[in-house]
Amino acid sequence: MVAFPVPLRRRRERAVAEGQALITTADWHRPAVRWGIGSAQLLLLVGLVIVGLGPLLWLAKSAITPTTDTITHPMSLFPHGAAWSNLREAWSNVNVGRYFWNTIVIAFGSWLSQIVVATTAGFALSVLRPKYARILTALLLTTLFVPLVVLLVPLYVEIVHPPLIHHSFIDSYWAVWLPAGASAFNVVLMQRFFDNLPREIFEAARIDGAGPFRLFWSVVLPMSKPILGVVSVFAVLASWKDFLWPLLVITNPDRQPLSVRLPTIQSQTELGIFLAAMFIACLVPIAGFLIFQRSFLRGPGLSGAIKG
Amino acid sequence: MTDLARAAVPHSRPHRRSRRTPITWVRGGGLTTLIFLLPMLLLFGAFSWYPIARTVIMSLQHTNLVQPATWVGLDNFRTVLHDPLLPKAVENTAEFAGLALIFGYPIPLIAAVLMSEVRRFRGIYSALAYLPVVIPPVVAVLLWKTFYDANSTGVFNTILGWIHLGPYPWLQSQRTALPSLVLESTWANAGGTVIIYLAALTGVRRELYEAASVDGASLWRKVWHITLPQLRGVLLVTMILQIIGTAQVFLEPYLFTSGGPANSTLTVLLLIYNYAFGNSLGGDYGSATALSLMLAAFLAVFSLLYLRATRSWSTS
Amino acid sequence: MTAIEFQGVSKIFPDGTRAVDGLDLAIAEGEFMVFVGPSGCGKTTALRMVAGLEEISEGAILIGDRVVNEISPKERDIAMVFQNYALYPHMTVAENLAFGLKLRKVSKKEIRNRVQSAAAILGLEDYLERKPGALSGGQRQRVAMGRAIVREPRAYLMDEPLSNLDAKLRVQMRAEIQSLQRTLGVTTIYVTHDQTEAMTMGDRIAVMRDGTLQQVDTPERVYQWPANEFVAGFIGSPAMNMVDARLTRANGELEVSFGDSTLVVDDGLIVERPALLSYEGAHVTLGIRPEDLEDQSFAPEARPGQRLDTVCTLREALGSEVLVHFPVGSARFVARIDPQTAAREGEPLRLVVDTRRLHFFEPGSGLAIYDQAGTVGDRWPASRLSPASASST
Repeated sequence: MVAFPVPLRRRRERAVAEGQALITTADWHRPAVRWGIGSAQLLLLVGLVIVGLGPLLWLAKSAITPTTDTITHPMSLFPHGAAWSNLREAWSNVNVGRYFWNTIVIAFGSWLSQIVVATTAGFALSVLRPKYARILTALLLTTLFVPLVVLLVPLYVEIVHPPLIHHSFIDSYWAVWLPAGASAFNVVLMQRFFDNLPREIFEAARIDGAGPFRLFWSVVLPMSKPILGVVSVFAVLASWKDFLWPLLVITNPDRQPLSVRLPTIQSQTELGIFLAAMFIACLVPIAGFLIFQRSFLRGPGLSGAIKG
Repeated sequence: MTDLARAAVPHSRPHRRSRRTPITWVRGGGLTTLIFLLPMLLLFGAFSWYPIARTVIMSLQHTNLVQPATWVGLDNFRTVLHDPLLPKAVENTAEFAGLALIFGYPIPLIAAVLMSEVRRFRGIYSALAYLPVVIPPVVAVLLWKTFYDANSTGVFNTILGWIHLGPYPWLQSQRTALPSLVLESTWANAGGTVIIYLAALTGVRRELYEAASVDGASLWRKVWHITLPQLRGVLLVTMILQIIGTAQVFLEPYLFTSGGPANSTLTVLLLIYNYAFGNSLGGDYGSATALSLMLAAFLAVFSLLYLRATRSWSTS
Repeated sequence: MTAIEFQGVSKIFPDGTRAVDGLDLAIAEGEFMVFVGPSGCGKTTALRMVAGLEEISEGAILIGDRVVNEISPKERDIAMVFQNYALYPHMTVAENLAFGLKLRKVSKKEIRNRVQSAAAILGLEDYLERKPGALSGGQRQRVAMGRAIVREPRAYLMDEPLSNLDAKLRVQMRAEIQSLQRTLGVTTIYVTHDQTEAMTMGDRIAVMRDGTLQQVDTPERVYQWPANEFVAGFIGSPAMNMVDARLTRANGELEVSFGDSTLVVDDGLIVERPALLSYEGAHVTLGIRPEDLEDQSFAPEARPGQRLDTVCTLREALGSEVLVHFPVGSARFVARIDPQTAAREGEPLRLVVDTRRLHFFEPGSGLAIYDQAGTVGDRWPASRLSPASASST
């Protein structure tokens, strides 16, 4: 059935009850097990902190450390005080602020493009169910199996020399927004979610007098908030992380997103300011992750949760 | 007393389905469906299906963006196959994929198994593991590039210096460059695999473990006879996905070393990029598409063989 | 005035199955018609064809005097109550009720009035701002009904609305729905698989099986004059007892013998079922309802031709009555007798049969034997067959 979000605490309790069967409570009482597995888990936790958090903490520290200190004593903690100016300089002088804004604009457009395509196509395939739905779904699935590398060159050529319109789309954000929408994964995800909605609600709406557009807007979309959240989070994150494609199609430095600019920034500015810029680039993904943890960590298991 | 229709009203003719005209199609909602499908059809048509077709076509052509393209048959494929850089790229890519499998495959599994038995705070484990995945890859690579500074004052060299190891050349030596890339790549991606494994592990039915416990199975036996078999499907899928993913690695070689030193980190994707967009070769779209097709074909064949070989092992 | 009419309606699915086959039926204005039958009999499909949710393969459905085959559900002016309520989960009760009206561009004031009055009738006033997730099953069912009421349609279509409720609530809601329908006077088609619901609620019930209409008439008449074996066995609980029998004439009386027993067919019964005479000497299927049997000790005035002696194999005490099971030839019969009965398992059982209420069916076709010497009552509803209508035609 429909996967409505369960209050976080209840789910965590249930999650603890799941798993946790490999080692029974009886096993835990045995000292060998408790100390053995327990210390392994502790070791793992320490390892995760060092490995997962370490590099980021270093980045945060170095972002506000004067360059010379970072170069000569990378592991020491503010031997000569902090340099908050790194951040300010990165933001304004190095224009990180502008690139940050570019990234936001690109992310928004890509998100919108993906949402529009996925919801309308998923709705048509799942609710309206035309006779040719199978063919379309098959075509969609084949794109999932095609490695991205295959699309790179022809897409680029298409942007530079669009078939019918004699105007290059290089440097236009549309070159990033529109291809982003062609994500078969999103469409299939939406379609499966809609498949799991009770059909009778659609019938009731039909009898109430709702046409397809009304059904889509007033009934199906509001009921789809959970899946829209997941798709949105992943869409924004994917856009934020995107590098190669924006690198290829946006050549004007003023319009490039942050990830594309960072290598150039590294070669053109001092280390401290560069690290500050990197830190700023991480803020949105990390903040998003902390806020929407649920969506991220449920994501990979989602296909199972939604199935059938 | 109600009387019945049959006696009173003549039986109407069986209703025949009206002819399928455009009007009936519109009235039947066909147009509306098409309108809903329009965004998908347009975007996929333009940016998915058409490019796929174009790749095949372009691999058989010589394209320069000024004049119309000319057909050159299999010339591009021949050029690519005779490129001395190709064997190096294939070798490096294979080495990368292999190393990534060694590092990035078992470690997340062990971590996930340990994590699945954590009673409280499992969320912290998951969050920490997944954090590197959330970081934009460019940031991750450039950050590790500073870590890999070959000077003794580079971050890693400093840390290793505390235990009297190094300094190591990291990205500057042909021997250590590729493994350094794999290390960063594993750091950045293992978290996703951990989460997938964790989800699969918590899906294993408790009753199986409980029955085994009652039967007196030790911990290792339970892992070997229950956990791993139940996870078979997920394990096999993540393996093939990882291989396919690492075979297409581009960012690390591009940003860390640009394929150097001495092409020791040149991968197939980087070669394709250089063909199409590189400064020295650049503009050779024919070779680029030819090589992409060859890579895609190879991955397809590999996947099929893989699926066939593992069919008997995967869960239904 | 006919409110809804089926004319030779069939529903044929792509794989060839006929879910509904040649249905002819007329429902009067304000009537509470119940479609009843086992799962898969086509009752829900027939309902959905009236609603416009299923395409009509053959025939025509008329609402008022209008053929509605090609008309969308929205235009048919009907309202439906679904088995699973189908409430919009993201809207409050008030919004759920108002949705259909909003789509029809009814004025805000009018919407408010209708919602308020429906809520008042159904006791939902305190729940108008809640979402369906916060309501109990019975409350959700009422909201589903409220959605139908506010639309003020020509007809209500109800698809097993009570089957998701627990037994006690079901009985309560049954009465509420009935009184509601009587107050509002709206034509209603009600689908159920529960014959008790059908019998208690319907003005008329239409019994269906495998897509065909078996019989349509008032509950009493379906009970007393079932058109065939299926209807006879379906209506009434416990089900009618059936056994192979032979009709013979002895001592100037018509007798029916089965197993080791023989009963004398009451003369009054022969008057009601003249066709019986043409079955003299032939095999028939005899049907006796459990409630038409009684312990001899409680029916002392019974004649010898009404006696049935047997052995009790199982006794079930229900408090208000006792059910005894006993063998008859190779069949097993059930009788509903007085709770004070002395019958015991394994002991002889002496019963009396109400021979004015015997049922006879033609072996093979299963059709009930009623009127017109030489002909067998055909499958058409009993109102054409029962003595009362026979005298009026």
